[in-house]
Amino acid sequence: MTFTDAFDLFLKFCSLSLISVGGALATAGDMHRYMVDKHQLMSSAQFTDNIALAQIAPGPNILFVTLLGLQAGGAMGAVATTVGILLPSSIMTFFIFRMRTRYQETKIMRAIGVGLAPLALGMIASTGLTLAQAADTHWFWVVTTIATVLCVVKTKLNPLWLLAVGALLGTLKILL
Amino acid sequence: MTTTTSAAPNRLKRPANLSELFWVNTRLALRGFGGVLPWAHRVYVDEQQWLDEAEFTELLALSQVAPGPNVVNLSIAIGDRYFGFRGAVVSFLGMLSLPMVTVLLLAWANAKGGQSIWMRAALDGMTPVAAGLILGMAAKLGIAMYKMHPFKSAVLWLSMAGITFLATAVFHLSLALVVLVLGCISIAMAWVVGNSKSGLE
Repeated sequence: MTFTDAFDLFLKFCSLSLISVGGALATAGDMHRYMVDKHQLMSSAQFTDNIALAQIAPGPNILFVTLLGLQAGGAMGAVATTVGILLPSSIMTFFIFRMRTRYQETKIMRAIGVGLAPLALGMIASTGLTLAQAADTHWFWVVTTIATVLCVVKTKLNPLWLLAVGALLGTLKILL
Repeated sequence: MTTTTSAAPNRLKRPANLSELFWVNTRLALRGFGGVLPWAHRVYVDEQQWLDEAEFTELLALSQVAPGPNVVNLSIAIGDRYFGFRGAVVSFLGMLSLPMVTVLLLAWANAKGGQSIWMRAALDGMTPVAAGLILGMAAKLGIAMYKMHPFKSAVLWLSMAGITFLATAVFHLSLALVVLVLGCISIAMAWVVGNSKSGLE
């Protein structure tokens, strides 16, 4: 990958960053069009493998863009995609929060805070459902998801235990 | 357990220094198998008590509608709140640096040896739990929202959350469109409700 290619990649990811409302995964379709269809930087299977790998790893799922960049153009590619997807949105977010702090006591800011909270709640529930639909391929996993919800609501149990139980159930399932 | 809006602020804690901010975020992020958001709620609200439910929901709402990943945005908000610009940068780096090393190591191991059948099986069991953690957090936020408001406005806001859920999960409308249209309607309603003396609040 030449420097010009990396710079193009950087600019593409910068533009995606600014429209990535609800997270960068929402723009993955556009990334696929650019990296797989238009520039053939990797195969479609490699593209989805990298996304899956980042979701498995602990940490923010956004890091899938680092793996995509690495696959597309080594270290230079990884820097281009990672900085490109994170910098513009983070700067914008920083100023949004500065505005909030500054006008916190005004009526309009309070209305924005109260009014947007239900939207956030709805979107998170929607993300949860999307994940559940993808993960719950068997009625057994549907029960697991529902049991997890109950544990989260009714107990103060550390989620790591719940994840460990999930891992155990997964391995037991192929033994039986 | 859930605090009412008036009683909370004086009981809240704060990070002692930049290093604490960094490591709290790093530990938070590294526990997030299949999603960091449920951990953000647990760490910021329950463990560290930097935020109460109401403020967590409000910061999360802005993080969600601003461009970029919501947990990263949330970390920027929290860093800036305690230590200004430096805090925002440190908080951001805490959330991302070590997890990035981890994901690179995992990619390297994956390229070298490939995934074992056991690892695949374990992951198949962890993803339904990860989905449940997110849905459980949504349920907790919904319960907190219900307790935070008088009955009538609680019904109003939970209906708004329901409409957002339908628009995104069932009708698959674009998030940008949902934020723009429903966001304006919801903010306008909050404005009217907040200003009416005999209002719902």
